[in-house]
Amino acid sequence: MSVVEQSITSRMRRRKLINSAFVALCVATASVSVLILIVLLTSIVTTGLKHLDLAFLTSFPSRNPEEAGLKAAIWGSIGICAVCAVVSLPLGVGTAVFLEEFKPKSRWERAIHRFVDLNIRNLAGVPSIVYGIIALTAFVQMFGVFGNLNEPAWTFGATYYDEYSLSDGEVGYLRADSRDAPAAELAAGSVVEMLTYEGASIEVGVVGDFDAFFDAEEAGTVPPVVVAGEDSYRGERRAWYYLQLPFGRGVLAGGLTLMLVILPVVIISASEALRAVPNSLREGALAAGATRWQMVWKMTLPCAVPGIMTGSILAMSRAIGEAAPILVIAGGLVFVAFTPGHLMDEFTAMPLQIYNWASRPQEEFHNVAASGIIVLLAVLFVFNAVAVIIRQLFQKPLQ
Amino acid sequence: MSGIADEMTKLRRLLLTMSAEVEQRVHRAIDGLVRHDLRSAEEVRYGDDEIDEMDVNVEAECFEILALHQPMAGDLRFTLATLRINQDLERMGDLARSVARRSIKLETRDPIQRPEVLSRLGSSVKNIVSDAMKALADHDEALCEQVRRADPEIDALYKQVFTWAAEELQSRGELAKPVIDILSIVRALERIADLSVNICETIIFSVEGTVVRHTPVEE
Amino acid sequence: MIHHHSTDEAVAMQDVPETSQPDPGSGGGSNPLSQVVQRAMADRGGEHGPADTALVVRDLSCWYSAFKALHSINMDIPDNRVTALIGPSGCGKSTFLRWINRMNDLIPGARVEGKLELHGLDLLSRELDVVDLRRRVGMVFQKPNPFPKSIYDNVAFGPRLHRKMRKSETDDLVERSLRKGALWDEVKDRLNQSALGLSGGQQQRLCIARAIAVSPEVLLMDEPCSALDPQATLRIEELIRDLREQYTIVIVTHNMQQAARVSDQTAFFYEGKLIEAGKTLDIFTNPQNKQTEEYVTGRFG
Repeated sequence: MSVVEQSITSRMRRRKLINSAFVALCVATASVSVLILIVLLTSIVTTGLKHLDLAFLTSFPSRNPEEAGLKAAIWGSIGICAVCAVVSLPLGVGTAVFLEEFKPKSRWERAIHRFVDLNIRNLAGVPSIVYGIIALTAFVQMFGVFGNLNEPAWTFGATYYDEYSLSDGEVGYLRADSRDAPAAELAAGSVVEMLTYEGASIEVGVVGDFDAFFDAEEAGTVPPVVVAGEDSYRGERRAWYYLQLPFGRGVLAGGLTLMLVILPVVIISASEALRAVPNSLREGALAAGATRWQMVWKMTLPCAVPGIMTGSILAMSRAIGEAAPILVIAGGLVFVAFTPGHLMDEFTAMPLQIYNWASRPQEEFHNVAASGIIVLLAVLFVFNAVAVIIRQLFQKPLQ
Repeated sequence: MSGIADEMTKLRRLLLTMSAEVEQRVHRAIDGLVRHDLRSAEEVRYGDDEIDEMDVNVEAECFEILALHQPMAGDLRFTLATLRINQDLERMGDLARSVARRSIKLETRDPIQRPEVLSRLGSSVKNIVSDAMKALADHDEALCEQVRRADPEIDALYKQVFTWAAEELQSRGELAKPVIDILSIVRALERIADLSVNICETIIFSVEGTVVRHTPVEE
Repeated sequence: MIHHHSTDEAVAMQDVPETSQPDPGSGGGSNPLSQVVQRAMADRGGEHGPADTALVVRDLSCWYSAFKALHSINMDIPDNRVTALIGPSGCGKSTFLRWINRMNDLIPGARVEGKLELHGLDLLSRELDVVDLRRRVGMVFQKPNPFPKSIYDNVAFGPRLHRKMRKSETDDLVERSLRKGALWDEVKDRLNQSALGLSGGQQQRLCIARAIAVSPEVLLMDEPCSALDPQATLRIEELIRDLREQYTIVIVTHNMQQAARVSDQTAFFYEGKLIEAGKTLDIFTNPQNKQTEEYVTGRFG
């Protein structure tokens, strides 16, 4: 064996050794992260599983850990995510189409175009709490332009009532024209048409003084009576389509906040999906006589849809797990024991509720938090699975 | 495999070697005739095999170029021209041999008074062949035209030999055999000159791309 | 200097007054080769008599930003003929082709000067309706680019862009176009299957069918066979020869044999200049320019 061959053989042995060492290192690092994940998941499942049942999903939060449930948070999350999806998808895809398909030709416009593109990419790296603070000013308070939160400058879909205490201990509601209209003057001896809480119509007699009121109460006289000139309380009922300016700490503001968080991600993933459409298809469409719009609508967008959907679903799964910006705009850890009835309604979200429970001193609430985490993880898992399925099913080769 | 440029060079070399050989044979055959140089004539009479081999080689090279290199433009014209010239050269070789054979035969017969034009015809044919070969080597169109213009002169000499033969046969009928020998020799010489003209016309096609074969010579 | 052959068909590739120079070799149309040319052309599917000029190109120059890609091109492209553009990579032949349907509009910094007219329509005008132009000038690309749709929808794509069509009308058009594209018999039973399942050669023929579905006047082909095997190439070439009856075809090709086989006219580009244009047989048997000769004989560079 010659010297050269000998040196090659000895080097060969070393090269093979280094190679197997490197493979071992890769396996080790991968195993560490998988191991950590397994430990985390087991600890959560063991602590959270015993509390997880149907009742947990269908009951409101409670001071009693045994009865605490996730219903308000689930509906809140659904609400803000729906708003977020409805707003961020068209905006994001539209922006991506603009950035990818309508590249300007002149030098200055190109520079501006690149600047916008670069900044959107940077925005994807901004911490989400920053978006929370921006959203607090922009959406919740609307820079104070429309007055303060408790007295919105403009409302739509709200009806106002004056509330009166009736002699039978119930409350009667008398319709008012607006929030600031003076209460109706009730003349003693008259009969007034009022509503019950459920909306049924009742007749209420008006008496002159408190003695007559108490007499009527004792006697249980029908109809119930109310005292003329008594101070009433101006109440408000909001329909499902209720809107106001400023938006306040409601579902709409929450959804828009999440929109801010994921919009750069949606734009970038939609851009990538559009960029993955081969240029030859664009040229083919244009050469066939398509306008820019026809090219986008009939060629590039349909080709990019699987990619856009995958990216958007992954973005949504990020949105549903966001706690920090929601915490800012929802005004801290409010106790919400109802499902949102309209877009301006207060809400809580799953990560927020989990954080709420986890930060309580009682050990039992920590177990409840673990159950919440399992639900959240399950939702995220479903989202990711759908994304993978879409990619597998629809991502046909384009060429 | 070498490129088309190398192949074309090789083809050109083969063709020029062959043309030089043919030219030499024609010269020797004519020398044998005119100067009664029997050795030259004998050399030409035997040894046609070399020309045949060259002919096959040139054709094979053309074939290879056409099949494997798809010649275009000048290359294409030269290859086609070579096929044609190759054939003409081979014919010239054959004719030189037949001149040599007849010359030898003529020497063995009873001597006769040869026509004076015979040696003039011989040197004219030598010149025309040399010019054609030079034009072939140099791609010289002007020389080609000159060769074409020279052809009628040879035809005239050829006709003079015929006139001589007619007179000779009438006056001295017993000399029919040598006269016929001379007639067939001049006929071969005339053919050699014609082939030279053909070669020149093919050269013009190769160089210019125009076919002058059927157009009369410009004076 | 630009050499043009003097030919019997004066309109075919005529000299431009400014650059006109008598060719030293072929004096005044007495070139017997041009007879050979005509005989060969007749064999090639019928001579139509003198062709009208489809495209008139005068002093066409173009730039990509600071780089001058075309230098004052002068050329006439005849109707119902196949015109081949040959030349080494980067010589400007594709650039030239892409001005004819204004695909260069897509390239930032592309600028053009001069005159380019299709049957009198100024193709370089700012007011030109590019969409309408592309209906009149179809294009087939180097790599087959079928859309990721069904075979049927591929062919119907172009016509549907321009107008609403009834189903029966579309069916007819698709069949007619596929027949013209010499693909109908191979795909008639699977029109609704994805075009991506076709072989490369079939895909390219589909692209040709797609291009002719909008009934263009001119078909531009940018190296249509460079991604295909020899047999598929042969079929496309056959198709091109058939199509010249109805369309004016301009084809860019790197394959000189292909240019020789399919085209009636050939133009040789080098470094953005039109070096020589003329009848294909002349260009390939007896080019007037030394650069052309070197290129077609493969001694270039």
